[in-house]
Amino acid sequence: MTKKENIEKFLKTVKDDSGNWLEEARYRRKNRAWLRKSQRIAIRVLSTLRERGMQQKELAEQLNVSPQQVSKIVKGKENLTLETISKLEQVLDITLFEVPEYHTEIEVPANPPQSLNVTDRETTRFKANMKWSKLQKQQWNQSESTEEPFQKAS
Amino acid sequence: MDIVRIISGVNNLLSVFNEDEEMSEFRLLFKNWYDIEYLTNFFESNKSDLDVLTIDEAVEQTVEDADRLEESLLSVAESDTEQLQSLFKPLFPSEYRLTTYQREKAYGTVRRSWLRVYAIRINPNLYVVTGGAIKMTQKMQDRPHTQKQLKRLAQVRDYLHEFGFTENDIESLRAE
Repeated sequence: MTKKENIEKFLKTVKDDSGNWLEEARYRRKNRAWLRKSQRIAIRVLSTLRERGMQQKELAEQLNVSPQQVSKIVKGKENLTLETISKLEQVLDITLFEVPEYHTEIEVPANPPQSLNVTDRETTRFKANMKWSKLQKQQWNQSESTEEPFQKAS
Repeated sequence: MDIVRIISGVNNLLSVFNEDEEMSEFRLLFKNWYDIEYLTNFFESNKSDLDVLTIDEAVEQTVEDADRLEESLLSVAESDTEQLQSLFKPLFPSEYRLTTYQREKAYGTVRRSWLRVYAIRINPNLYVVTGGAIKMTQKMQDRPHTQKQLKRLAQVRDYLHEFGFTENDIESLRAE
């Protein structure tokens, strides 16, 4: 038999795989950004458990979830909710996820140059904005105090 | 031994089927290389091969390497599976023959991935993936998990002989 015939004979015995790698790989490519975060969280959680000699079962109990749920978390394949991440942080007393706080920096020169020219009109606009904010705050406080308390369902 | 198509309807890229895990060895590789718990346990057991890296760093590095390798395979699979020869290289004799032992450093300016996909090439467009490994030592004989891969390569070669292929018809390869 020629090699070509051997190949034909061999290919006749070949079946399809039980799953679809192409789909799985495309899923991983499409979701790479959050999967990477989930993997890093899993690394951190496992590392903390290792350091403390803590079992996954204990973590499940403290989180009040099933051991299967913890098993999924430590595989790094779960799209975790903020609630789950916060619970993990609380129970393990670690930081897993941090959103930078919003800061506005205003640079005030020690000696404003003449060219800066902060006009009276700008000062007036600033004062007017402040007044408007105060007014809004007042209205908000009033509406809160006059709001009906929640009614219990009868 | 069962051999399956990794991509339905495509005969270029095949794999040995793992009966216990009920999936191809090829799919199993990526399932494990993205499983943080599996990787952590693996590096715990092979801590002595890590040199300067911590277990956590090794896990993170493996996932990055798996991403790169899977992306290369996916790009070829989506465009032209006949380009598979650009990914698979002959298995270096140094990977399985006894040579001077030299530890590969897992750090440096150009870091070589330690992930390996092993395959047998029947012709330039027909590959059978036999398995893969996280290879952290120079020779495949150095560790039981890579030794197992050598054994598997031999088993698949024997299986292919049953179809009439000779040793000259087939070649052992690796992708990394």
